[in-house]
Amino acid sequence: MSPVSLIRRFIAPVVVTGILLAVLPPPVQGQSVVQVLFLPQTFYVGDMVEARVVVRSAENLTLTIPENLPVTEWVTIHAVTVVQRADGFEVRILFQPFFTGTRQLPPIGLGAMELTGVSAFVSTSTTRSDVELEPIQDQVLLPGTRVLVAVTVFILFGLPLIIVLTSRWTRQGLAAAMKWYRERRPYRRLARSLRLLQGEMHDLDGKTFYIRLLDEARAFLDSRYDASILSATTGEMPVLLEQSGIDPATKSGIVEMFQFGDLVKFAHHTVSLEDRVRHLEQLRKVAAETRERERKHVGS
Amino acid sequence: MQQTTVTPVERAREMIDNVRQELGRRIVGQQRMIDGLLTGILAGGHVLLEGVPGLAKTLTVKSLAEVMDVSFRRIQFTPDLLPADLIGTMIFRQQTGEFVPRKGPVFSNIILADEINRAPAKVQSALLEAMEERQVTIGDTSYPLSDPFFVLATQNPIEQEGTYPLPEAQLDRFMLKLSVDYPSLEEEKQILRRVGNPAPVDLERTLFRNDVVRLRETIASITVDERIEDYIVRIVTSTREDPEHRKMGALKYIEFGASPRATIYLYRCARVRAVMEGRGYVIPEDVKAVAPDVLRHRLVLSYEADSEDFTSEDVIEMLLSAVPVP
Repeated sequence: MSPVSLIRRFIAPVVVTGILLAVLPPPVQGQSVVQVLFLPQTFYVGDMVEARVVVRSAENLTLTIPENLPVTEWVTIHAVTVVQRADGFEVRILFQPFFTGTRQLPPIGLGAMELTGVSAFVSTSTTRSDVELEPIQDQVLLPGTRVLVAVTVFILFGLPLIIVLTSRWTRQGLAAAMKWYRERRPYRRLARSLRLLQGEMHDLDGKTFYIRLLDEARAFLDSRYDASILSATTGEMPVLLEQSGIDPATKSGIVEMFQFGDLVKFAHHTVSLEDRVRHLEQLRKVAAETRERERKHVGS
Repeated sequence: MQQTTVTPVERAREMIDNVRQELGRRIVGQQRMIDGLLTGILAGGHVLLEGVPGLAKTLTVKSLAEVMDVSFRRIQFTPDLLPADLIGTMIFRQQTGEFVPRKGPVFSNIILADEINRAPAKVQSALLEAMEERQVTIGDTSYPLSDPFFVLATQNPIEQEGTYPLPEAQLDRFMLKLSVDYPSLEEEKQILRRVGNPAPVDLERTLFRNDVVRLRETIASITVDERIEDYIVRIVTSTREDPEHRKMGALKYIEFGASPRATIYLYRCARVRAVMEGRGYVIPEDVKAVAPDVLRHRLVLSYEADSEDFTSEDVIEMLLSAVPVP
């Protein structure tokens, strides 16, 4: 704490209070102010302060609180109360100062007596003394509050407005993009898997090759046709494919491939490279035909 | 001249076809029931037939016993039947002054337990113990039962008054439960025509004891790929806990699923079915074909299934349509 502030906070109020007591006004008709106490002891402009003025009185006075409290520019007196004591009474004045420095509270008429000459020292946190009194300021906002409010207002009102204005176009665009992506996904996946399988064809044994080929075929057909091909046996497949409206020639090709695959997978039949290439190409052909069929269907 | 070699599988199929044809001379239609009975016999399991009266259940079993070179006994299960009536008892022989065992009808190759649910639980238990252990104890001595030993039981799904439904643990001992349905219009017309011909149809014995042994050997040699084994296990476990199928909603209809015994039976039946189709290897189709008969009586359906009027067949169909085929 700087020496100046130390003086302001502690020493000055004590000295001022001492001076004030020394220069207290003469006793009024047998009453004397014996003590003036400010709560808080140090106060600043705008603070709510209570001054407790202890008055010793020989007589038993009847005191009344004025209906209209005195008004001055530098201070607002909010309330005055009187507390009776054994040797006199205590006047409690609740006020709010607006000027710095030492100033006298306005005289307060209490009926049988008038309380005058009570001085208060209003501390200041500034070093400048030429600062004019500023009106009460608005509450200080947290940094970023204005931006946050603006963004919130935009999200609540602006964004829905933009969405409403552009919704049709956006919806159509998004739907078209999704459809395009979804429609091509099984083909892309199948093409990728078949490329991979073709690359590994020479290294794979017949059984593994057909397991992978037919698993891909099942997944593809299940996604493209309205039939549970994944859980269908080879024997159930012709009926399911026929119900899906598949071309009879394509259906026969698929069924033949699955029957051959069953022999390789479950009966451990040997398989030539030509068979593998043939069935790989057959599946590619089925995919191409299915795509073409879908395209025509969409076109019509 | 080129000599064609007949494989054991082809020979086995021929034998089975002969039995089918012979039975077809007396039984009209009911091919599923006949195939189911043959599957049970060849896979070494017992079969429970369920169907309303008049669907030739008993006639089929009797006819099957006729075409096979095996002993056959029919036991009509009634509420007053005692275990001793079934397995036999010790009788006192005055001439020698000693107790001797008198073997019951269970000492036959094929037992037709007609209306099994009409006998009390203790009789059912006695038979079911014989089915599982393949031996019975009379007095202090245990006697092995004949080989082959098959129990073909029938029960009526209606008229439940005064019956003793088989508990789940006992139902589980039947390899297959065949649901016998009404014949088609054409089949029923044929039945009518046969009634008009009073001459009895004598069946010829086409399947001998040795043939059964040979058929079993052939069935044991059938190739079952690992992926088929996985498929079988997946089907059975899907009745219990498989989260993959929970999404299909089938599991909510099942209170208790099938036991590992179902896995074993499904495996054995699929092999028989492959032979019946003339194949030396099992394909998913074989498994799928026998799955309903193996699982039907092993699923305890939940309240939800009851409330939505779902039968075991419906739930099995849901499960089969959810398990991917290898």
